[in-house]
Amino acid sequence: MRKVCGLAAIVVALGFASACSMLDQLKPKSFNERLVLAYTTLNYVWTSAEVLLKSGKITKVDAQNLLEQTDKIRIDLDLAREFNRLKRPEAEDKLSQAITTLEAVKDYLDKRGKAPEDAPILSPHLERPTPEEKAK
Amino acid sequence: MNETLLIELMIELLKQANAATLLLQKAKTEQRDVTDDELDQVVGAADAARQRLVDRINRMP
Repeated sequence: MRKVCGLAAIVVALGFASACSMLDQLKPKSFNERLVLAYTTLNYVWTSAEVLLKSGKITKVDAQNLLEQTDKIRIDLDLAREFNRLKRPEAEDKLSQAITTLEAVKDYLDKRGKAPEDAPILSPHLERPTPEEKAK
Repeated sequence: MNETLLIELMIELLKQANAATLLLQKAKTEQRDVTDDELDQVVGAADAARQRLVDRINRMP
């Protein structure tokens, strides 16, 4: 049963990589297309975090920190969408800024998914609390 | 149980990536931009993923 599950997981992961590759190949150009890609990446980050939390690759505190960071990204994406609707020039900057931060979080999660559990956390925004902080 | 759950989550990832790909492909084929309704669908899917993460965090000891 374990082997079957492992194999299925590999197949699904490969399928997901292929779907992501297809998304990249579509080369989103318009503002709304880039928003679709950004919200889909956010979806990927939240689902990956759930998987990593369940499998013990990240702790509850890591997940809470990640949620806090990604909620800010979500707000930026919503603002970018609203600015774009109102034809305000800040929309482009807001979207670019949100995508850059989102990519950093996604890279962190991808590395975390492959890394052993005691690997150092790369993002300064997602540092685990020190033992002293934990004791407080 | 754990492996089954992980596979379910990965299938969910795959479904979402495929849905977004199809949505972008459809808009390109029809030579139009992504509509607000389509964007709302993508946002709704992301919100559902966030809620699942929040539920998972709350279930952790």
